[in-house]
Amino acid sequence: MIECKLKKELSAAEGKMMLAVDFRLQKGDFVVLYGNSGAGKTSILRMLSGLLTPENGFIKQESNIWFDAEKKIDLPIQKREIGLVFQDYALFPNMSVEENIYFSLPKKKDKKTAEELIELMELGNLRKQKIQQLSGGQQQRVALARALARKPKLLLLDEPLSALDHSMRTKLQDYILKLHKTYNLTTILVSHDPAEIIKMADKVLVLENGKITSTGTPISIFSESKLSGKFQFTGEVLAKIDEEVVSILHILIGNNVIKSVSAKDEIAHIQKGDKVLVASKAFNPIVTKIE
Amino acid sequence: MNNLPGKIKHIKNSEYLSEVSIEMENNSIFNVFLVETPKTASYLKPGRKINLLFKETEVIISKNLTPEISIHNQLKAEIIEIKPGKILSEIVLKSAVGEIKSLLSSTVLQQMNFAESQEVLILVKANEIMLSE
Repeated sequence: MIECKLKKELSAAEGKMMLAVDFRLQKGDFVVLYGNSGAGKTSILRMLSGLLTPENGFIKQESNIWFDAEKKIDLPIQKREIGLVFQDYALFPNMSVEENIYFSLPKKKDKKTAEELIELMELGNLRKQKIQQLSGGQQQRVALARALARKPKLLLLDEPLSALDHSMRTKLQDYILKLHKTYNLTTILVSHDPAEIIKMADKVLVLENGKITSTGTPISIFSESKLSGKFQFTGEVLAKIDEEVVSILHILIGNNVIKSVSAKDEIAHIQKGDKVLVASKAFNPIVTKIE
Repeated sequence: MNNLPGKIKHIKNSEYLSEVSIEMENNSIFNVFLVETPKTASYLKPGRKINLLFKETEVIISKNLTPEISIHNQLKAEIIEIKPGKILSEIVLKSAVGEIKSLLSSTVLQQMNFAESQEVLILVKANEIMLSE
């Protein structure tokens, strides 16, 4: 569990702003920080990682204190068990893929972790290539592998996919989810893309002017007030079957599997494993009493 | 899903239900029933831009351009493509407010003798349309 209470005055574009947040994340949570530019999202990530010192408050990971203003504890970045990935990949351009990953290992002999990450991120064929020869998506895969080489407890992702095109984003989202699940990480992602957030996150913290103004599931944050359909559920696509002009989705909602028919082109981008919103009008369902 | 832009023109409501009139880009009016009222949904305001969403399976096509029928929302359109299937077929239509698709029975498609560039009337029931901001 990560528990934190952070307070710091920041200089934003419109003058000074007081950042004051208080939140608690469970192990395995995938949380998105959502808000306008200058709301304080990146500052929160920087405080969690030790790159920016809060004026007040504390950061606790289980029983480990990373920061405590009163007790004057402030662990340096390398002692906090975190992985960081930014929009720019910040890799060593002259090193190869594997050199970049091996360079981050806490102990040089921890080869097993590095090899596991190379396999998970499907970097085997690229391992000898220099970073500068790779595409943006490939570089970001290396950056993710490198961030996890130190076996962090907390993964911090600051708009890591915003420089990539749509199809590359989708692939990288899958890689991030795979890492998150494989290592049972606590992950905090800064993202502006509701579709990405609905697909990836369990929980959203909405940030405005340095304060958390609402929290909830992605669907409750993005859909309820924005779509008038009264029948709204989130589910996971178990199967997609194409039949001529339509596709049939089998969707797991809670413990029930439902089926939905859509025009094939409309749901061409939806695949097995995707999280989806299922919505219908309140006028459509038939309700019968169960004896 | 069909997605057409419009602007809320007028809202008539009872305690729990509303009938929202939406002005489309060609000035035609679409009506939508909601289990919401301006009190419960902040977006229900005259002048507000809104998108109308409805499934392809809810789009009815009539060859008679002036039918006497109880479906409120009616719009002239031209068939631009027909994609026949065994059970269901898809018809792509061009209207003054945008492209609309309809999924219908392949048997009906044959019986009706629909053809590309034919002018038809599209009908959508008010209770089948969702609104999205």
